[in-house]
Amino acid sequence: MQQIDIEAIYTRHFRTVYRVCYAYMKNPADTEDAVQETFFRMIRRQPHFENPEHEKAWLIRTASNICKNELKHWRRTQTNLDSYTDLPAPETESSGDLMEAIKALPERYKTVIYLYYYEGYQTAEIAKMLRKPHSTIRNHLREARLLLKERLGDE
Amino acid sequence: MMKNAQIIAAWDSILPDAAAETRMRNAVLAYGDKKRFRKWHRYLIPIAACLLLVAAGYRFRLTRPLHAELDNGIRITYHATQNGISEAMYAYDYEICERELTAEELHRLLPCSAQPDSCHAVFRAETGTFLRAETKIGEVHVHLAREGLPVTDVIVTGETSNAEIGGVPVTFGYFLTKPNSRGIRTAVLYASFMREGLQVYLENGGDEAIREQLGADLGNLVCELLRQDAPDLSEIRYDNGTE
Repeated sequence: MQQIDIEAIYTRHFRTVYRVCYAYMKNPADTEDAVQETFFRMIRRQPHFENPEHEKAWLIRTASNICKNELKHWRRTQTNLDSYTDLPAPETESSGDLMEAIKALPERYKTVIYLYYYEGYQTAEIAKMLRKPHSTIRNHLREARLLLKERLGDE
Repeated sequence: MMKNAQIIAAWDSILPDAAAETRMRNAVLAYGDKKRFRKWHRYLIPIAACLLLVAAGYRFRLTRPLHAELDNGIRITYHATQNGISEAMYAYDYEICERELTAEELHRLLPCSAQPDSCHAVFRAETGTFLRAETKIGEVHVHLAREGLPVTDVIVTGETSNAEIGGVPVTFGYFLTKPNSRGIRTAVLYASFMREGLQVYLENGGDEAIREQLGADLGNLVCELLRQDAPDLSEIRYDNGTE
């Protein structure tokens, strides 16, 4: 298998991967871990990329899966979190109400919102990338819009 | 209604700071290097083991002892004496003279059924005493020297085998030369013994592929020489040949 150029791929896509991870993890420290794990997985698996778009799609899907798995793990181990309520709140970036509203969306909507609005993918492309039915993606997008509208008002 | 541009602007603000970006980049690149190294590393131990085996096999091939079954049933061993060759001091501090030995003298010196080639001998000029001689019996080089003198111009040291044939202790050994331009090594097998004040050194050389055969031929010749009467040096003098 041809050796992938890790640095070039990282430089091309680390922002995208970071944003996808941030939408899930909601704080820079966990986002950083998830970003690294995404690229580590790429290094371990050495996937064959046909073009930069394929690369990007693979990284977005992998980042999304890693974050979902990590959140699942947290939920499983979250037993007595109430006793930690006095701890300082996790570090967050000041990114405005809209970003806060996006971060507060259910996880299944966040990547769709990001890919549709920021990366400019069509819903069919997102469906293919995330390996979900096209109708599901369209529904997620519609529901996400409604939720954002509800939370932010009709700005 | 919320504008798409606002969503894009919101996402735009999500970026790692410079320190975090450097940290992530370094971690990813370091992980890549480690994986790349490990990918090769897993082959290193088997490769090293194979090389060691090849080296050990090659060394064994070069240094393994040779065994030869002689016609009389004696089994002799030639140990390899690799890297044990040095030059002998081969000069005399007195005057010498030289001549060919007659067939009769040669028979006194080397009593055996095989006919040696012509033999060139060295004598002390002042007294006419025999010092040394060289000849060939078949393909075997034979060097003879009075006790206490160097028998050849090289000294072969290292592990050798000792056998007793007809009550005479005989030393056997062999070494391989460096490969020639065609990659072929020559095996040089030797045997030496002392009899009646005469040192006898025999050397048989040839392609290393037939070294067992060379060893058997040399061993058989040694047996033949030791089966015969002891050499008689009393009648071999320089003045005999000049008369």
